[in-house]
Amino acid sequence: MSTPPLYRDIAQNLKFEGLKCKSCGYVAYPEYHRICLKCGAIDQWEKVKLSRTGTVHTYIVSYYLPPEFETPLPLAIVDLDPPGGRIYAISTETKHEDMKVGLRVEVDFREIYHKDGLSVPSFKFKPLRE
Amino acid sequence: MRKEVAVIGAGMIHFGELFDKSVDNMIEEAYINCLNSVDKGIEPKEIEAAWLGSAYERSGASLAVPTGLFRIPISRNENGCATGSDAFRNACYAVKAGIYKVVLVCGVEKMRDTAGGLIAKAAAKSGIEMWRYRARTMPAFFGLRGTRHFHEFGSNREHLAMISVKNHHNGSLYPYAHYKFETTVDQVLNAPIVSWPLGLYDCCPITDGACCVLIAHADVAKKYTDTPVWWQGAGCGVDSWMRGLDENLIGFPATAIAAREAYKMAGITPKDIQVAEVHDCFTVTEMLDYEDLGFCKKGEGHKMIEEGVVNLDGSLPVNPSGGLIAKGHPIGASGVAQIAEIYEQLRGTAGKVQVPDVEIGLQHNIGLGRGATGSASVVNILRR
Amino acid sequence: MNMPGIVGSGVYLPYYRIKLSDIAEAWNRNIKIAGEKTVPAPDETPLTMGRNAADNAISHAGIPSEDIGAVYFCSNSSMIEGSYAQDIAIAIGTKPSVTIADLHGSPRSFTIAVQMCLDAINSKRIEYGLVVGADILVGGLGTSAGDAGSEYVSAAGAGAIILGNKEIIAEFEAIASYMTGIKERWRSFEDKFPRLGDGRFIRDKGYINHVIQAGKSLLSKINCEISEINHVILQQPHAQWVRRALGKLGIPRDQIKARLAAPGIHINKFGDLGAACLPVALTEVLEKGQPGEKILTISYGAGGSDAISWNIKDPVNTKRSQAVSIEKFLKHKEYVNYTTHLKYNKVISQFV
Repeated sequence: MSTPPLYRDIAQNLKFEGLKCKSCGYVAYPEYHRICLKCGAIDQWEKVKLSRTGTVHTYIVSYYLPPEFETPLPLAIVDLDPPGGRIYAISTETKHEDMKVGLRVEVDFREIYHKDGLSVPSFKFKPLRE
Repeated sequence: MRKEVAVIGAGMIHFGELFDKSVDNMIEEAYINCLNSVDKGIEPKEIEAAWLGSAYERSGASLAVPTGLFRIPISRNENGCATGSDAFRNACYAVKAGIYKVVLVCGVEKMRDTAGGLIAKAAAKSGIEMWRYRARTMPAFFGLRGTRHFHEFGSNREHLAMISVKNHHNGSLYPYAHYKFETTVDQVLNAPIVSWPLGLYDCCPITDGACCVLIAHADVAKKYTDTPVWWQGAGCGVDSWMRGLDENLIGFPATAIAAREAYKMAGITPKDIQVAEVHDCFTVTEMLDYEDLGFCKKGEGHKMIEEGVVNLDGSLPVNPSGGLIAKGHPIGASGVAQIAEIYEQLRGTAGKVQVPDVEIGLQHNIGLGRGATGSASVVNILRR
Repeated sequence: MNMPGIVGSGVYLPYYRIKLSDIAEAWNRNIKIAGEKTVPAPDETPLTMGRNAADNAISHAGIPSEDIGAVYFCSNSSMIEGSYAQDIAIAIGTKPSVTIADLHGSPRSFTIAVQMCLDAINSKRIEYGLVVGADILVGGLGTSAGDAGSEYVSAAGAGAIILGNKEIIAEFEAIASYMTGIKERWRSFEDKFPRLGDGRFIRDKGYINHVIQAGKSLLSKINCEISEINHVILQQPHAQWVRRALGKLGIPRDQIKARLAAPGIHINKFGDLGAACLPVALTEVLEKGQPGEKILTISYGAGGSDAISWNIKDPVNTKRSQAVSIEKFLKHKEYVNYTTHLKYNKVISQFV
């Protein structure tokens, strides 16, 4: 299993931190680039701690996935609360009938996959239960 | 109108699960059919350059070997699902620039040799690949736009089903379609869900296929045919939903950008299009295409299918061939096959799916790059 | 010199539960049994739970994570080679000079790690240390409700405490350890389930003997009677063992029921949490505990016990608002059936 890519992305995979563009306010996570995808500004970033809660902007529910996945599996694009960030969210502990545009969700640290005996954790989303 | 670059021949093969045919077998068949399709005949040695559109095959040599077209310049193009139309677009630029007089464009893809197909990518691991692909499948990427469109504009699965019904109907009449069955709205709505909101019949099949077209500079076009079909222009756009812009999740701005450029180059507006072959890897994609290509306003795509405007007998038939839904989507071949269909439509040789008296046609692809994060679109316009 | 102590603590418990009566029914056992235990989600591991608990402990402690000089991860379900302490240290944002250790072997590893941490603080090598206990225990199929290590008790969860010298909410007072050569429970890396000796033997010569010896030794050290201890929290491999141990420690019969229902005793709510048992118990106690109260924690595992006493301090009240309440994990839960419990515990899988 190739670990250099994992090594390069330790920060994003283990820390829920984003980069905020000082020029336009865009929040990047998990892809960090020097040039802002939204406004094109170069090297204008400040580190921000991402909010642990957000809202589902859109979603799908997958019924056909490779065997290692438990289906039906919802997958969403989540808008995190301020400072912001729009990110892919693999769902966990989410019943597909509970999924909807506007659902309030919170992030959790979970195993994303394991391969060659190594468990690789990062962030997934579950419904926000107060 | 422009009379600089002409399409002078097109060769299709039957798309489907072609276990008996290798990539090379498919290229040979499409190429030979294409040579034979030229009205006044053509010799292979007259072909001065070639472009190969394929997502999985690499290097110009992959086209040279099965066609015997050695010692001419051949480029292999890839641009996601817009691979075929991008190969065509690049070839047209070279001919318009007068560098080559006669050029071959070939699109090919072998998708069906592996069982997992595109779903296998969902098991992506390791680094940033994990974030771009994991748990995502093709229907997921497009379904995400569908869910949001439903939410913002009141469209629903029934509209998508109508698109499936239309395309399967057209496909049943089109000679090269992978799927020739007809279907009903009820059948589509009750089919197994693949990736809500998309069910089995909202998705194109996994298909093998190839298609070749020949293009010629205006100086020599009449040598090959008295009824050339003229390329009016092309456009290309690349965009990404990762930019945090809302419009990326209710459609594909890349399509709008590509279309704008093509319309401008052709000197026409969307209203001038009389027949179109657009990208419908999924029914929802086609609904969004109507909006992004300017056939209707943003948010009203579902009304076009509701009102039957885009049916074979409507005022703007879309996907008379049955689209990717019926033909399948061998990635590199799709765009070229769409060009071939518009070519036949404009020459009046489209058989059972002929739209009467059409002069201007549009071809379009929209595809994925960078996992789900990018999308590349190409639009070509042809006119007789 | 001021004694170091607990600066913050936190837990993480799975969302899913199974009713013990459903386990009995799956095996056609005609027994009446109350209680439930936690079931990990298929994407939970000791690392993911441990990290979440650590995050909650850091919030409670209110200290910058860069000031944590040591991270110790205690679990029976971690890697043979490799480190989860490392992942937690990186995840929470410690400096590169942090020292890490993965302790396994038994639930006692938690209190061993606490000692290592206290030593490191006392020698001024570190300012704060994080000790995480996390386990996903899996009991053998069809094992008995009366036995420790069975499927009725083996559960999943994580707890974490931060130890330091400032803003202490529970100050370390004393420790007494006791160990003999008894081998009553083990698992080699070829075994899927733990192996345990005879029920009464391992209960009495193992658990009871060591818990009592360590406990009494400590009480004598601090010159206290058991009645003066406000919160008695023991390792909880089985509800009946805990009840027996409380009695042998000298708690009068008429008070045992109350002690079993007190914060810190959670075997009937969560199951046997292994190395997470004590930090979860400590967090429960500190949520309601008041300054001046005494806590006695006694671990057990691998034939040994550590008994530690703590005194609750004033900051426990000021830090209360920073805590992530354990109520959250009690209020929100969902029950699964026996097959799902087996799948989620990776006992059965479509992959060989």
